[in-house]
Amino acid sequence: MRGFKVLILIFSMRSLLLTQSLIGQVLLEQTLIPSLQTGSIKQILQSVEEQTNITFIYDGGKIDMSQTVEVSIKEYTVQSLLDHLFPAEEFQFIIKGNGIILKRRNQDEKQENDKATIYGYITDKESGENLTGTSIVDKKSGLGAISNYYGYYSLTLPTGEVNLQVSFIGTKRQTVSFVLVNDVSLNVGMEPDDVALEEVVVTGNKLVPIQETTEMGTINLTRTQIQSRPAIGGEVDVIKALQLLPGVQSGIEGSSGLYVRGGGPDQNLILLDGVPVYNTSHLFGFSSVFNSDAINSVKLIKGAFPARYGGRLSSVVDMSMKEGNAVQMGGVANISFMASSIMLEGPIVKDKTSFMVAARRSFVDLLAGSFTDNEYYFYDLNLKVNHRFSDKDRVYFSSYLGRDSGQLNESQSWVEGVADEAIFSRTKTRSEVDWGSAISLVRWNHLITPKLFSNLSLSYSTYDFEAENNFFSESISKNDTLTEYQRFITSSDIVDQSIKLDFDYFPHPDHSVKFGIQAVRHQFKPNVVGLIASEQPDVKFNALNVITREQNFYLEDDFKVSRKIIANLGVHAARMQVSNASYTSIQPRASILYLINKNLSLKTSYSEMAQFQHLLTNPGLGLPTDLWVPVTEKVPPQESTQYSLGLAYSLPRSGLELTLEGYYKDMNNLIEYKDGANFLKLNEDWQDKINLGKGKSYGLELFVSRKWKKFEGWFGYTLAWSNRTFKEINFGNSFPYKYDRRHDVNVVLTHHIRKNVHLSANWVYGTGIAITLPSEKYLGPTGVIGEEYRADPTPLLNYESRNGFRQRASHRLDISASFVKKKKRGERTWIVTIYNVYNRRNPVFIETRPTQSFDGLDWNLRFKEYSFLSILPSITYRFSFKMPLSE
Amino acid sequence: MKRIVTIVLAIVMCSCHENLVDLDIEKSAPKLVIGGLINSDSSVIIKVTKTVHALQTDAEYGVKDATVLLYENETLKTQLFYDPQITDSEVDDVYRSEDGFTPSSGNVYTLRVNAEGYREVNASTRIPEKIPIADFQASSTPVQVGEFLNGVNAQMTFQDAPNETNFYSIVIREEYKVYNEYDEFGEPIESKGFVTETLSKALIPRFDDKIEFDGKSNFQFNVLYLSDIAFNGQLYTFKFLMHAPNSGGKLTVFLNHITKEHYQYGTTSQLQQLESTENPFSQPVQVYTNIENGLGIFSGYGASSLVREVP
Repeated sequence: MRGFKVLILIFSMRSLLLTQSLIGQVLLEQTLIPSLQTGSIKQILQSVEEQTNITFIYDGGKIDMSQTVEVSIKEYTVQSLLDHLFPAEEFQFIIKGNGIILKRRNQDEKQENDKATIYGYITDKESGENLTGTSIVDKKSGLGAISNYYGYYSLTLPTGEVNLQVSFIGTKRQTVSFVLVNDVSLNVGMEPDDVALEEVVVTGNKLVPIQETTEMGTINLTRTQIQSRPAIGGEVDVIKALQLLPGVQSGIEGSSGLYVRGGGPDQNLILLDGVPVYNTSHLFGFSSVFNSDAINSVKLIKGAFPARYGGRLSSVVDMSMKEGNAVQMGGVANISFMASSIMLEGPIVKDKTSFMVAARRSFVDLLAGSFTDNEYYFYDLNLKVNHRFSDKDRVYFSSYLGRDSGQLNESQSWVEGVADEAIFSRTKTRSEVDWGSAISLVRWNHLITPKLFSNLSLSYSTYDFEAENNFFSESISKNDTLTEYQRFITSSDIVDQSIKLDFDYFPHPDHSVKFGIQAVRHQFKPNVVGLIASEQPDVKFNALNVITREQNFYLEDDFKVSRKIIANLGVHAARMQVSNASYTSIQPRASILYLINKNLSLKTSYSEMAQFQHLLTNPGLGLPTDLWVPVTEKVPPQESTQYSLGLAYSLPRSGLELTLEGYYKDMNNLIEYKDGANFLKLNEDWQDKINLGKGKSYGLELFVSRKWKKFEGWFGYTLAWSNRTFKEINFGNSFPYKYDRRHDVNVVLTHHIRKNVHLSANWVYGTGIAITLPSEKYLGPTGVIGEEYRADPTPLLNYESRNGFRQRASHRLDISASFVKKKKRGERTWIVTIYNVYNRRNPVFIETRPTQSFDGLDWNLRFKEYSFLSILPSITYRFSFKMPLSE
Repeated sequence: MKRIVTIVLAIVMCSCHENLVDLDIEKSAPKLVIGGLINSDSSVIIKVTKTVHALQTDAEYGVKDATVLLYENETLKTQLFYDPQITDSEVDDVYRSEDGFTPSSGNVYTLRVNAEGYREVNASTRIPEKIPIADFQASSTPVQVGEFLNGVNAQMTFQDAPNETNFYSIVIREEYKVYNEYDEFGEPIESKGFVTETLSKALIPRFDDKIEFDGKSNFQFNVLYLSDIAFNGQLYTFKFLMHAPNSGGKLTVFLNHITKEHYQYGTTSQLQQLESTENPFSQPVQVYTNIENGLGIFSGYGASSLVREVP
């Protein structure tokens, strides 16, 4: 670093603890024979350091160490040498352990209680990737810091001896001791802990005990944890791993929807490297778009939302992509029942520039191509490149591209008549559906001062959906050919452009301040419908763009009020402009903990949230046809208020963690389709198809995790209620939300039988979802015809209440076994998975329409229950490798 | 768009299973169902039926032994007795007043119905004032609507009452000549046929009705409901589409001034029938009722009519 040369002392736990035996005059009276008689002051001092165990500590920016000096005597003491090099009237020496601190007199003389800042990045030593959430604690003062999203930390301590303990999940604890004089940059590389690497227990925050952090309803999952869970078709799914946590519902069987604490699927802020992802599903919701090999970590927040997050009501899923190994090339390849994937990472310029690229594609269409005209496939691509210009500046580029595409083809041909009168006719119908997202993001980390870290993000993201139906017919006779075609297209898309500036300010070890601003331009085309047909003009509805502009500001401080009370207070302010309307929302956030004893704390939180986008979703399935729509003059933003109260308990030695949380959430301005309205009516204005209403959810969540010998896992239980009230639905009466599940149980276990054989199992149980069924049928008049009374023979169905019935409860056991083997060029793993082991027919939906015939006088109703995903075994092959390190 | 759904279903087909189930739907006690639309021009007729379990087949709906009492401004005015209207295909289980009681506008009417084995049901209504039809016109130029039907544009003009929310139903009955029989000389015998025209507008029930025909809807029902939110207090011309009448016939156009309860019942019952055959993913429609402890509708209306010859 230019103009500010500092001595950085980094020691490992075993080798770098300094001996404290030599102090004071003993140190200064050591006799030396000069090995260098002419050289710079720095070189002279280095020669002394080589002969002794003395370390000189100085600020290179304040003392000119390049000055050339001559040492002509044959033998001298350290004292006499220093007197010769540093005149006593200008300099002074302070002895700390084996260190001699050189300081200039009358200039910046500090008292013993002066403070200085230690700052830097915590990285994974093997990969060079930054480590978020690392704990850095000075054992002497008890003060500490946590590395931020980019692995940066800043810890201001009293000058003097410090003894830093650096710890991160799955790595060896590092201890660094030195004498702190001035601000010092200290980058720490964490070595993997072979014992801990195998598997780690899910945790609220493993490094800071859960009872000592203000986070509530927050759970971090690592890539290892996600990949260890049994998965449908062996395709590991980030979202499905989240569904195993208390307070999180999955929607219908096998889907990758998220319903958090009674909220809807649109109320989750799903961030990939900080950019919201609108569509999270491949395969019509049965797989998520996130390739687990490209994901570094996942954080789920269900309550106590820190002020830096905003824009959704019910949860934040904050995912970071892998940065790419900065030390050596490596990669992973997978082949599963559902898709195949490959991830490559490595340095472009060692320790400066690295990349990660991951690609995945389903291949059922390739296998089935010769059997059918129909096809379906999805693919996704993740790319990340980062470059470190200096310790002060680093730039990241991230990109995601994903698409799904399906096609159905039908054709018919026939001949009418004979000989010259024969007419040959044929028809072809092709239906296509295609949707996908793209995200590009550039981030610039800049260290303004050791206490002030900034990040500037520029992002561009798109989501688009298109469905097309093509019909072609042709009739060929001897004298004439008649053709007819019709092409019906519907599409929707969203384009977001965002600029965001975030700051992390560390004024004091007891305060960690975050603040930032953001401006977003959203462009919506919610529902474009087009018709192109022979012999009629082209028609296009709703092709206009809707532009909205959103600004956000946030400020939060996580601070220690007293030895027993820690608080995180903040505010998120947001403003949205659309057409002639604008909405402003000031959202206070607070989370406070009281440490009852060293293992147990009481926590409480308050969060207000606002959401400027709605999702028009059909009630049965999560399909890409779900429309993201902005707030408008008619449709105001969704809002929520959530209160939480809970206990957090941990016994670090036994690996036990327990949280018990209660929550109460009020939601306003929710939208629902009007009775009878649905996504199929594409040519109607969406604003005319919806009702506005309220929601309320409350419940209790228990989460217990434990690591015990070769076993580890967790148990989650949720007791919850979630209701909705809409003036024009259910005659204004409250009704249960579709995913109002009273009881939800998750049991997750892993058994490490041997170092290379692992067994995993999940068992899930959920109360049946709420459905609307007719209980009775009856006759009723259909109207008035003048003076005539007329009865209509068609009976009506009486739906006593919206969502008044329950489907059967759902439960399922999934298991998997992993067999790992070291190979010459890497490590291969066979993963055998059985989804739904005991073949439970979990209900997905119940068809309540007449299933036989309508005879004109009465309905012949039957309830037909559909189940997906019966027992499904699969095998996944996985191969990971690392190229040998080059010199 | 239904093809999208088909694609979804095809994908999950490999692991899909369907099962006919008897869900645990409690067999609740049957309720009385009232069909009672009364006006000041005709004697009261009330239809009394019952609910049956949703899965029951060959259901009998009629209730023959009910006690049906009608009150005017809380004073008992008449009792109605079972007097079924029997046609070739069905029995209409209606109750009539023996004295031919006819309600009048401005009063509040309360209906109380008791029958053994059922909870007593009751409902109250008033008879709205008649709203005269100022004009009615139907074009003779047919337009294509949907895939099958030919229609014609029509319009009806009337003066809406100001400072109150009013609801209307429109019905058009066509009387036309039919020649199905022949006399002894082989000449066709002219007789009359009647049909109630199907009408069209936006069909989703809402109180902010789009009242102009917008070309999006198909012919569906023969009663058309609308509210006056967009034209409160105005002399209003309502444009709509109707099934093309036969030439040489006669159209009788009815404008019924109805209550909000009737409007809600009518729109929701129409929508339920429409949606029940269209899309399995739409939420079922709950039909409104103003019958306490029961189902159906008891409501007054003021009927106006106009007759037009079809050229």
